[in-house]
Amino acid sequence: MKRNNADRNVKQLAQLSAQLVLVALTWCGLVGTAIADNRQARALLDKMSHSFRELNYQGAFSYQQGDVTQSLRITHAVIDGEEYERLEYMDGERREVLRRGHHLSCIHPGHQLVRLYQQHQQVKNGTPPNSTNRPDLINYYDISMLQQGRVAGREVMEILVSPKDTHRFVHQLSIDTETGLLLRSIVKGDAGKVLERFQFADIQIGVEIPLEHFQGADHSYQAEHIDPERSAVVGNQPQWSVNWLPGGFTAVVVNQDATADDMVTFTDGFAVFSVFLEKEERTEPVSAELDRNVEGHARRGATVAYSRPLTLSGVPHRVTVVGEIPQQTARKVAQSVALVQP
Amino acid sequence: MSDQLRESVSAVMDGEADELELRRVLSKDNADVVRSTWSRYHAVRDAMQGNQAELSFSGWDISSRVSQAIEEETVTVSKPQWRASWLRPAAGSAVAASIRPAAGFAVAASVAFAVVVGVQSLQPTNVGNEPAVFAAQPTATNRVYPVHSSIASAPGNMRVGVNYDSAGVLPGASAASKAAADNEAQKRLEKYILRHTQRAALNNGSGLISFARVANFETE
Repeated sequence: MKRNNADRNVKQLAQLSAQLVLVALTWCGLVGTAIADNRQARALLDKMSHSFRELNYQGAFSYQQGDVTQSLRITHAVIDGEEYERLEYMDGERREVLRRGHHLSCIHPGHQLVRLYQQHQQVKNGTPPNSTNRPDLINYYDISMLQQGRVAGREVMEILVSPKDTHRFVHQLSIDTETGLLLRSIVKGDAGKVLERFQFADIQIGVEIPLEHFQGADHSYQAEHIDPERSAVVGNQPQWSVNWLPGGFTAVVVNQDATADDMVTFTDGFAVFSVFLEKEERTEPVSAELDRNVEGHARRGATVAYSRPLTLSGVPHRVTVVGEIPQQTARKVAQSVALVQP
Repeated sequence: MSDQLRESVSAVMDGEADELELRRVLSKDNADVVRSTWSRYHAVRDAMQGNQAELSFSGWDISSRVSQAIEEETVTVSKPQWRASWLRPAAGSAVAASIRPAAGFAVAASVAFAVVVGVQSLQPTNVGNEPAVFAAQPTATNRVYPVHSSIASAPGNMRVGVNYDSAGVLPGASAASKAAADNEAQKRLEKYILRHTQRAALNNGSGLISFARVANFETE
């Protein structure tokens, strides 16, 4: 009898430990999957950050901002190591944007921020990335895999990029599993409100596109290229700077901490915003107290504009922040603009 | 009416109200009582200062007209364009124009205005039918007019504070010059967006697709 009891105890103990092991294994498995998921998501984002520049493709997509939707067509080709792009607006007045001869080796900070292996590589080689300490995306966004799906007839992986603070928007990205091209992107603001949605309806990847296709017409606009390595303009102009930035944002022109230009642009890899400073042409001076309150803001889709007057060493200026960031953030950035004391 | 509210109205009249007092006066709950007190106080002051009745505006109530103007403005939206009159606030009809929710802009669900009008440069002959004429009170330097309005149909829940000053744009400015200023501000914003997008396209991982955000631009 006593022995039977002992037996039972041993059996129960064995059962219990088996269950424990099972639970532990499942837990490890789940965590493991989560880590693997995250790594896979990062790898896809990394792929996304360069595939759209390296591949030939042609497709039609819709772009929705607020309650306005428009259709566009994009053509992208790499010819002799240089990018050729054409974006045509299919609705309303005939117009298009062209960009020709953008060299593939020209990497911009925004792409670098999203790239995973490049950062690791640079750390391994002991070379600091571009002499500044680039912030890591995962300090500012939670990145998770959602599910497999289908967009424009192609298999995609849905990735959710959600911010850890209130200074940026949620990005729901559907990335082509084969090529890494972004086929659908939904930008969401407060309480999951959709601000902007872009989605391919049809796309051909890997097609041959001749150079002639990128010839300009009278309705085409040539997009400018801003050299990420160009040195800041030095002149007699007083320099100014933005003294508050949300974490993770870097100037898109290297080492542009202060500038004499009328514009600076910052990015965290997903969101981009620009700050403009302009001398106000006003004949009569306005009392500072009244002036302080004349501010304005506007929004279209995910893009906000916030503007306010600012007196810099007695001269009236206007600072305007334009970008895909929440309005409160734009406002805070605008309020931090100041002249650099020589 | 509480003493507190009475004191707040008095402070607003004298241009000495702090934010809390201003909020109290602007609160919708107090609207009627504030309006009557407001006009009574002004009548008293005008009498004490010996102002002539025709120059006094104590009995004029513009709030309903402004509210109505705003209401009318909000339903006449059609063009998908940036509305940028906010960059250069003008007096008069721009009260309504600058909060128009064109192009899907989120505009306040409930809007409280404090319209500050400096009047040193104003002559009674400037009197027209724009709200700004209510500032035609030669002895005052600054006046704050509480105006209540709400736009039930507008999306979002943002507070819009608009302050006007006579030095920037005179109330006498013609509608044409205001429209020109609006137009100029609109153009400037479009230009900013284009320049921003050129850089964004190189950095946000969507490339040229980002230009879908640019509504219009001058072609070459």
